[in-house]
Amino acid sequence: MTEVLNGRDRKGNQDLGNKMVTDDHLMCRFQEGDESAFKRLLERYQDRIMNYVFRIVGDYDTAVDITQEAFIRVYMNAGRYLPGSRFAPWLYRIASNLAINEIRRRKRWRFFSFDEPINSDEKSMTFELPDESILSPEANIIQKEDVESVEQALEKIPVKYRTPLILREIEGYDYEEISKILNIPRGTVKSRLNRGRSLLKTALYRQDKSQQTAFSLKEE
Amino acid sequence: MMNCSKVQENLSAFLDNELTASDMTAIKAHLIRCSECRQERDRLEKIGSSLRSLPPLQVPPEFEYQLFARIKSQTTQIGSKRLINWKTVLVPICTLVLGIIISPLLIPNSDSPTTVAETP
Repeated sequence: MTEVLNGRDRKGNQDLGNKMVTDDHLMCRFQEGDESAFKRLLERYQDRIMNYVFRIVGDYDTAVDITQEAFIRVYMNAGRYLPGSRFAPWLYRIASNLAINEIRRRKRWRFFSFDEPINSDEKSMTFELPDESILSPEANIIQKEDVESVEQALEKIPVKYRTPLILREIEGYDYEEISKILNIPRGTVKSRLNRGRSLLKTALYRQDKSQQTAFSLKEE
Repeated sequence: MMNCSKVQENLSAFLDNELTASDMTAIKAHLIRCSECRQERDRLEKIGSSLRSLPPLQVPPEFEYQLFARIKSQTTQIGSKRLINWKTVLVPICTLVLGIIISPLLIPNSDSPTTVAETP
């Protein structure tokens, strides 16, 4: 298998080969000592993982740092990868754990910090959904939002709901894969996505409402 | 027959196509006749599309260089730790010391008490 793949490379069809060579094959080649296979996996996933982590931690530099750490762990623990298994969920699982640990570390830091108020993710869990009658009819809460307000709303959602939401909506994973990545039962994925969407809807609605309030104050 | 509460509870999984075929059919049927649930479905769909429309970011140009520098640094650290692997150093030393202490007790000595007793 390796020879065939190398044959493709020798033909110069690197782009074509890049598409055809599976992650699993690249990982197996890396396990055999082919460092270029690792680099190709890096090219494929560095932006995806960085975006995923960024949506969890909300800070570019930290996201870059965590993404590098995730790839370092892949590099160092390549021997633990089981040939035939799927590489991407494994990588996402590593990145998820690192990002969630970062959120926990921040919460601990805020707890001991005198400078910053405690505004933990758990606090935002106490969000209550607004009365549906307030939202309807045709509140069009999402149509008005821009990128910034979506990002801000996403940050307000507790990480345990945010992470499956990102994996589903942005990364396109199904429930089974999310279950494996986050190491939670499939039923929990379903309930967290349901709750996460409700919370995001609420957060967007509140932002929309506060923006309207701010606007009306300026008008006055 | 599903009521609005049950439908809205399952709308998220409905949008993800993660329900059983019978539940999918029941919700589809409900949505045809219920405008409130249709609105809720539309809101959830918009939330999904707004998330998917977030602009993707790229890693900085120096990302790969920094990554391999970190890998090199970590492998060097592991290598130097292996050079001074205390287990591999201490185990033979302890065995040797223990051997020196125990060996006089195990090897028969020429100045043993029996030899002394035989002399007239």
